[in-house]
Amino acid sequence: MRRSRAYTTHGVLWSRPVGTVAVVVSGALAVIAACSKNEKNDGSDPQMAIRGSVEVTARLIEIAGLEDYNGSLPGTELGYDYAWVMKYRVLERHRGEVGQDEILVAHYRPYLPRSQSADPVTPGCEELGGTVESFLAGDVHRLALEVPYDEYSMATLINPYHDQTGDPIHWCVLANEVDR
Amino acid sequence: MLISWLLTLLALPAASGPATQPADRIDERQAELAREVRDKGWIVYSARSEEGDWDLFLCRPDGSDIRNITNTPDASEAAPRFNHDGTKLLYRGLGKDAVINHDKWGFQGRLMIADADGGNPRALGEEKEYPWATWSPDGKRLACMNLHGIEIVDIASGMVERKLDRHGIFQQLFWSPDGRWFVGVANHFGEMWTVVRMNVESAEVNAVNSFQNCTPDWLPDSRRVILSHRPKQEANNGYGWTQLYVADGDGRNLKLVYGEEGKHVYGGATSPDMKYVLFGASTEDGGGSEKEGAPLGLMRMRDAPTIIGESTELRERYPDAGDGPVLLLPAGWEPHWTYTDIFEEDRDE
Repeated sequence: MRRSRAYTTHGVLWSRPVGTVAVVVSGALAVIAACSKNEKNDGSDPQMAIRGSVEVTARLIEIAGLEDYNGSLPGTELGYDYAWVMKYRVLERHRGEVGQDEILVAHYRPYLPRSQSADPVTPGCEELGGTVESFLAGDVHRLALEVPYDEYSMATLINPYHDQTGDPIHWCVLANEVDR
Repeated sequence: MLISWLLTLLALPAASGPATQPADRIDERQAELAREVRDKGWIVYSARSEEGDWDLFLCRPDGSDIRNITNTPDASEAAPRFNHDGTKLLYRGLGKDAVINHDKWGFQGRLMIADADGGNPRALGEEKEYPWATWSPDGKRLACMNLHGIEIVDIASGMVERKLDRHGIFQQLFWSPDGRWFVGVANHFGEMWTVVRMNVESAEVNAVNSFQNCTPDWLPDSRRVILSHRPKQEANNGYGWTQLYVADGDGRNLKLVYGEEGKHVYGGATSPDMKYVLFGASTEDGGGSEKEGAPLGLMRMRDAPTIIGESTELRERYPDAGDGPVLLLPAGWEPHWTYTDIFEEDRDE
């Protein structure tokens, strides 16, 4: 068997193939370490990439209509399940057509974490999810959407913008937290 | 004195347990109303049985002669509707322990069709199929509503004859007796819970009433809709109380039929000749299907608007309203009325 050529670096005896692999691996580890320190959650995940026909990163700019509910989204005390229409400003478009910079998005059972919001009874609500725990104006979310609402959901809709705009209402199927 | 008797009677809490006892009548006006309606056909409704499941019951309009027509301890049945000649029933068949959702019941269970006396029940399709099924005028077809639209289905063959866009209607679809219209609850024309009318031929939609409406149904003239509506009120800590109204199908002439602060009124339906009105009145919003139902009430349409109890805010809004009489019927949910002689002994009389 032919022996590989050897060399020394800093007094360490290396063979050429072993040394090459070591340099590559150590360099890769250094890059990974550097990235980990600055990595932010952008809300992407395998499901986000395939659910819905529209995918955006957007800032929740307004949850309107809460004045009749002591300033917060009503929960089960309403006695019925509902989707609440909220207003977002689009920051990035990832998939699909989004015509406006501000969009209306309906979230089902918004008083619950997205991971608990699915409903096996109501058509269109069976497979909802995401990492968003609660809704607060100013938060940034990555959203998988369908539009228009009526074609994708039979949930009761509470729409504070009903008399203000004819813009389409997007139905949110996944909502993930985004670090900003 | 008369009003205090009514207040005493109608202040009773929603009945629990099986619907086996006729209503107590302590008021001569109620007794007169009871005599007046006694032989006017049958009312069908869902109610808890002694075993705790939901069954379908028939009773005379005065609350007497109660008959359990499904009697299925291992299953539940709810939301019965007579066809237009009163010979058949459709309803939802559910598991024994199913919790009937007062909004989403049309998505639950299997569609069942039976004779008007509950005989010969048969299931159409599987769980969740034929959602929100409503009779055609001739009883040979159903209109059903799912995520993708409204489908008109031939019962005998199961074939879909026609599909329509549902235009935002998402619950409680009902077909008018003349076949020309649908009524339902929609996510349009308002902030929430709008009752709309749709032309079956053109699919054009108009609002009947916006904001917090539910349980719409057709009056037999196919021109007017009975519905529950909760307008903005100060009462009940600003939440308000749900009342019963009638409006024209084009949305005009909204008129109060029945209201009572302290009760939420749902499930309105009329007698086939539109002379009488049925409803459920519950202390909790929603109609009571998740629990025991609610006491059912019956009044004359000509006594509308009727307001019961102090109902201060409501009386200010309707100062000319009367005070009934209202006949208290067994606790139940989603009543419906036919004048058809369902049983042999009716026809022999």
